[in-house]
Amino acid sequence: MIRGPISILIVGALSLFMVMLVSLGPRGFEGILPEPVIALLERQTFLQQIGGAFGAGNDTSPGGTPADLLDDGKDGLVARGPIAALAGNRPVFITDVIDGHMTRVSTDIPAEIMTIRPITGCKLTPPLDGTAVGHVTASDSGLELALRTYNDRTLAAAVQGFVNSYRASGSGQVTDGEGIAYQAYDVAVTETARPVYLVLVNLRGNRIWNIHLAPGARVERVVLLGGDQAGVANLDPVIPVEVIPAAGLADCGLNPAYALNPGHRFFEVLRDGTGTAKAEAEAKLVLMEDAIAAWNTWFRDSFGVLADDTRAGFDRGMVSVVGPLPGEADPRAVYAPIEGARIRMTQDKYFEIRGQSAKADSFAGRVEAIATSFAFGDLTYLRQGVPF
Amino acid sequence: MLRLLIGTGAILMAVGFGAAGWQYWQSLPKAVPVAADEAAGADNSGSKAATRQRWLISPSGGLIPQEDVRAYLAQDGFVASRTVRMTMQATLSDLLAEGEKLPEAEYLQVLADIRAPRVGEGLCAVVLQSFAADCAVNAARVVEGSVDPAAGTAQFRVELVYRVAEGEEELPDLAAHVLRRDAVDLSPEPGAEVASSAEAALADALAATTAACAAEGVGRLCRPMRLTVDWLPGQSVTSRAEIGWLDPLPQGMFVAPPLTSVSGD
Repeated sequence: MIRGPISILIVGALSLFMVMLVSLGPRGFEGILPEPVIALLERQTFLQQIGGAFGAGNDTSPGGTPADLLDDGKDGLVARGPIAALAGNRPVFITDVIDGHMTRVSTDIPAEIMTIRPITGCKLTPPLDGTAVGHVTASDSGLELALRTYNDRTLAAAVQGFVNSYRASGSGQVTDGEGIAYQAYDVAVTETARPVYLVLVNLRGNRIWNIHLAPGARVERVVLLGGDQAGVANLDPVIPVEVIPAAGLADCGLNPAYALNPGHRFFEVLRDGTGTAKAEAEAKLVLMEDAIAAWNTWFRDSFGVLADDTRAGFDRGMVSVVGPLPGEADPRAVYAPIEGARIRMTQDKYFEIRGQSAKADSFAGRVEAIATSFAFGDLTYLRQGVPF
Repeated sequence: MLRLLIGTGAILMAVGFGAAGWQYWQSLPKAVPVAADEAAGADNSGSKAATRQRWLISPSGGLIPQEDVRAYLAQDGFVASRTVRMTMQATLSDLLAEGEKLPEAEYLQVLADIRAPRVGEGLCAVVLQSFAADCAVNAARVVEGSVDPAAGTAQFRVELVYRVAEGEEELPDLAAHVLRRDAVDLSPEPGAEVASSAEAALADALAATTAACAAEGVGRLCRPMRLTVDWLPGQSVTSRAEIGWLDPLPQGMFVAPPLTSVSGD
C-alpha cells in the first residue's frame, strides 16, 4: 500500500536531481556536493551534450577536449567549464595542472594579512638572467572572496542608494558597493626547471592572486599590475612583491592592451557594419593596434618577453598556468586554499572581512551610521511626501 | 488506496474551488451606501459648491482635466497638482545643525540630498506670507552633479504644496460657470534688478502671480494653480504661473453634466 508512493517519491527526487544537474550544471550543486564530485561531473561529456541540447547550464559544447570548453565569444574568450589557460591562451583541464582545485572560496578566511603599498614611480625590478617570465591576465573569475575594501566614494554612493530605497519603501536596504570584494584568481606554477618571475595583470576590480606551486617550483619575484587593489596569497614571505595599480599605470602613461579574440563582437562590426559604425570601428582598430603595440614594447623592455605571446588568461576564467603542461608522471601544482593563507595585499581606506567585523565597522553598518547622522539622528527624516 | 486517491482529489477540488470563489468574491464591486458616499464627499470639499459638483467645463465646452479641477477647487487640503516648484542654489553650510561641520567632499552630494527639505522650509514661510493658508514641502532633492565643493553650494529642486486662503466670496453655482486658465510668464524684464536670494525671487513671483490674478480680463475667484521659479545667484529669474478663474457660461452654452462619474476623486 505504501510502497507505491515511496517509489514515486524516489523516482521523482532522482528525476528532479537529473533535471537540475542538466539545467544548472554541476556548479549549481556547489555547497551541496563535495568538490571532487562536482569536478568529476564536470568532466562528463554526456552532461555537456545534454546541457547543450537544452541550451542551459554552463552552455558547454559537446566534446571531450579542453578546447571544446573555450568559447570564442562576442564578449571575449570565455571558459565554459573547468579549464585553465597556458601561455598563448591554450586551454587545458584544471585537473591536469592542479591537484585539489576548489572554487568554494567565498567564506575562506586567511590566517595572516600584511598590508603592502604600490611602488612609487614606473620602474620595476627586471627579471634576472635565466629566469622564466610567467605572464598571467585575469578579468572576471567569479571567485568572490570575503575580503572587502572600499573608500569614502563607495560609501557615499551606498548611502545614496540606502536613502533612495528608504524613500521608496520606507525601510532602507544597504546594497554592497559594486566591486568592493576581492576576487581570487588561481595561478598554477608548473615550471620547475628555472625560477619564475610572475607578471600578473589584473584587468578589473580588486584581485587576490592565489599561487599554487608544483613541487620544486621557485618564484623569484611577483609583479602585480592593473586593477584597483591587489594582493597575493600563499607566497613565501621572502619573495618580493611589487605593485602598480591601474591608476599608477595610467600615471606612467601605460594601459594594458591585448588583441581581441577573433569571435569578438568588435570584428563583427568591422566586417558587417555599415556607414558610421564601420568607420568608427576602423578608427578604433587603429587606436587599439597602437595601444597593443605600446604595451608590447613596454612589456618587452621591462620583462624581456612580448605580452601578446606569453599571455595566459581568458577573458572569463579562473586558472592560469605558468610553465608546461605536466605529463602523466610529472607532479602537478598543489592547490593552496585561501583559508588559513598568508596574504600580502594593498588596501583602500577601509578593509573588512565579511562576517568578521562588528556591525559598526562593517560596510552596511557604516552606511546606516552615515545616513542616520545626515538625517539628524532620525531615519524617518528621509521620508518625503505629503499625504493627499 | 482508492479512498486515498478520492480523498486527495476531493481536498484539491475544495481548495481550488474555494480559491476561485474567494477571488470572485474579492473582485465584486464594493457596495457603499449612498449616504456614506455623500458624507465622504462633504468631508472632502470645503465649500458647498464643491460638494455639489466635482467637475468643471472649459469655455469651449470640454471637461476640465481632474487634476486642474482639484488644483482649483479642493482647497480644504493639499493636492498633488497644486504646487510651487522651485530650482535654486543654496549654501551647504545652511544645511548644518549647530556645531556641525561639512563632511568630506565625497559625502557632500548625499548630505545635500538628505537635507534638501531644509531648503524648502524657508520657502514655505514666504508662500504663507502671500496667498497661501497652508504650505508643506512635498519633495526636495539636490540636483545630480550640482555640488560645488570649492564654493560650498549646490542646486536643489523643491516642490511645495499649498492651499489658498478662502476669501469671503463663496463659490458660485459651478454649473453656470466655466473655468478659464492662463499660463503667465512672470519672469522680470531684462535689465530688471536681480533677486538677491531664492526667497526674494519667490516673493517676487508670488506678488506677480497675485497681480496677474488682479489683471484686467481675469474673472471671479482667481486662484494660482501652479508656480515654477528658477533662481541662481546673479542670473535673471525665470518664473511662470498657471492661474484659474471662473467666468459665466458663454451665451448660448448649456451644461449637460457628465453621464459617467468623474474619475480620480
